[in-house]
Amino acid sequence: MASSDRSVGWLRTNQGVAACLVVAMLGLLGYLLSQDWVYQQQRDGFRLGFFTMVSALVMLVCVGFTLIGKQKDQTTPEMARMRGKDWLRGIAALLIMLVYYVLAWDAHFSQDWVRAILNVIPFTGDFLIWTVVFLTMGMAVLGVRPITSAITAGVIVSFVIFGLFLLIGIDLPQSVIGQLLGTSAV
Amino acid sequence: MINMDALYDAIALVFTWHTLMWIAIGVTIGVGVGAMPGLTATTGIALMLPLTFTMDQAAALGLLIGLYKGAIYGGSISAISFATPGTSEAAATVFDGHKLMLRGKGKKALLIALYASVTADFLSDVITILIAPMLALVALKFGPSERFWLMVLAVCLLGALSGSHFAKGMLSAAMGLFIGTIGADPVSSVPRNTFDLWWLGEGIHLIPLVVGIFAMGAMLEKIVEMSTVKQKVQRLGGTVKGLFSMGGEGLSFKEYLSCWKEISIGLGVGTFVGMLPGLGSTVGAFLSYGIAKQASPEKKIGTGKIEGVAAAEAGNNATVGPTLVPLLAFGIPGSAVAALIGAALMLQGATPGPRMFELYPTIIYSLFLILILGNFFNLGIGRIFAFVYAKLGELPPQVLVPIVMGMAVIGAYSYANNEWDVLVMLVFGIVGLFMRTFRIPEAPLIITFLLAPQAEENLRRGLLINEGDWVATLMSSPLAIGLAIAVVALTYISTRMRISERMSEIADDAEAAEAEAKANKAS
Repeated sequence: MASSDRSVGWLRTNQGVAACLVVAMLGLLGYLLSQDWVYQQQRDGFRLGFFTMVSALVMLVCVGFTLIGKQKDQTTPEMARMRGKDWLRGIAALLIMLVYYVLAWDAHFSQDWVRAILNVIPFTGDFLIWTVVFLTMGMAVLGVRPITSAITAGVIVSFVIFGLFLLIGIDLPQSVIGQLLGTSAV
Repeated sequence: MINMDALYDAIALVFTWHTLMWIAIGVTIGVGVGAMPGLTATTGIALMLPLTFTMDQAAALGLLIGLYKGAIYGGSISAISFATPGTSEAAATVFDGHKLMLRGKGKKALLIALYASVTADFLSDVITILIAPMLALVALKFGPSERFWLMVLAVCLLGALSGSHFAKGMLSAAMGLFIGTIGADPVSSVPRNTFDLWWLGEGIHLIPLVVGIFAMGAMLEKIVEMSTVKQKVQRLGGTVKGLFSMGGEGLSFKEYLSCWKEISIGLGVGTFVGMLPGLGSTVGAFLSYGIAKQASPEKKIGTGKIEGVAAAEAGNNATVGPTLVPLLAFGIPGSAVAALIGAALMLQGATPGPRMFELYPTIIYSLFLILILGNFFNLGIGRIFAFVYAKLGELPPQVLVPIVMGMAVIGAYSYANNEWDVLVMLVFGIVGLFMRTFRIPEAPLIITFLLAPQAEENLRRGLLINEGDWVATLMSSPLAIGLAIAVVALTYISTRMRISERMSEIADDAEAAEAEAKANKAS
């Protein structure tokens, strides 16, 4: 339900968010206009950037309507509730997910420095160990108590996920426990 | 005309232990997903989609359609038990369902919810099976320009009917189109819009996109919610206490039959709403509930009556089959779930659309059989385990969030064993969080993303046929002109009459119902 609460900052109203998006859209359009491929004509006479430019222009028009439309002073309850630290919390959660992925899959994204760090961390590329660690810590940080419940849930869920993917035939990274059980897929 | 050979093949494919097992697993997971507040059918299907590419066609469809059917019904379980609808489409069920629960008639409410859901779902599936092939025959007569305009019309309809703000709906659609142009173009395979990143050369894969937008975005929103609303520490011990303990008065066959009028209203409204792009099961449930209430004032729906539960549940489950009609007949998904089922078909090598009836009749018949069979599984699993699922609704988000996030990473990676897909999924997670926070509907983004290559192919084919003449391409027939006028008219009406705002009032009713129920519960 949208509300027009003046107590929330302007930046969190439809107009405020749209103003930020207009700047971003203009930047995107400027970038696209500077690209050669946008004007490149194909053998059928179609310009390669036609749909990309149409989509960027429609985005700009829609954001423009939001900026000046009748609901410009309104805000969504979620936007009214969100603080800067909440966005940071979301980004932090994503970074933790990325770290979990890098550790559990031994992924280095072709970066030497990531590979160097992974070389000194034990059990990298061990799906079960890192999934247990991630799930247990995630549950504990979010407030599951007692800690033993978080550990138990983390261990059980990790094994269930591992078993489920094994059953379907999807490869998961090698595991010390998996090797012991003779089930490691990769 | 029924292709009997294909039908026999489909029967042989579907009636195997393997496929039946996956339908049962789908329904079992689906009812659980629906019963857990915070998880929706779309989130569940987005998470399961990466698993389907290793399965055969029938098993993959069985898992996803079973999950969809189960999740739509499952939302009613926690709506009745705790006045906390597991999904927004079950919010209308709270009005009467929870009042029945408070009067000690929870079992009766759960049973009528199940029977009304399955009855309306089954009958709407039959209607889907009858209508989709007929519409596909019409769609086969369309040329490239008619198909192009039909896609534009569907996108405009989605923008007008999804969410509370037409501009936001169209913004979402334009974002989908933009993302869809990243990578090689669909006709000449020339890379474009890659921001000079080599790993974007193949474009954005569908799986990391949907998992990021729907699953990761939803979980990030939960994390933010948990931090803004003061959370008490969750003790897991009590959750499993009281399983199977729900007793009370059951439902007689006479009582079930007494709800025929409300189930019929739900069937009619749900089937119609399901076929229209952009509306969805929440609108189906609330419209059906509202009409049933006005049609029979003497029944006092809203005061804790089984007829109210029947109308709401029939209304939302009747959208399940019909939501696939635009996908199968025209190749245009009308909802996020239809888009994901369309994506599953694409992963299996079958592009949804009217030609699918000619090219892949076995898959079509398998889909129809699974739609019908899924109802019997829903009935059996819902009947036996509803009371266990009622307790699952108490599973705290503190446990759920890390599990779903972990599954999202596994799903994004497993699809193509590509590490960049995980990064893409995480980036779209934050995009999904922004869209939820700013209330930009996600469905138009996914649907336009799927339609973008088809729209480009059709336009370019039309240009080739008409030797580069744009006017001749876009206005090649009276039907194409009619569709173009419909696009302009729809855009004008949407902006002037603010249709999306009116549709969002229905969603607001859902929120108000939820808030009222929570307040009642607290008091």
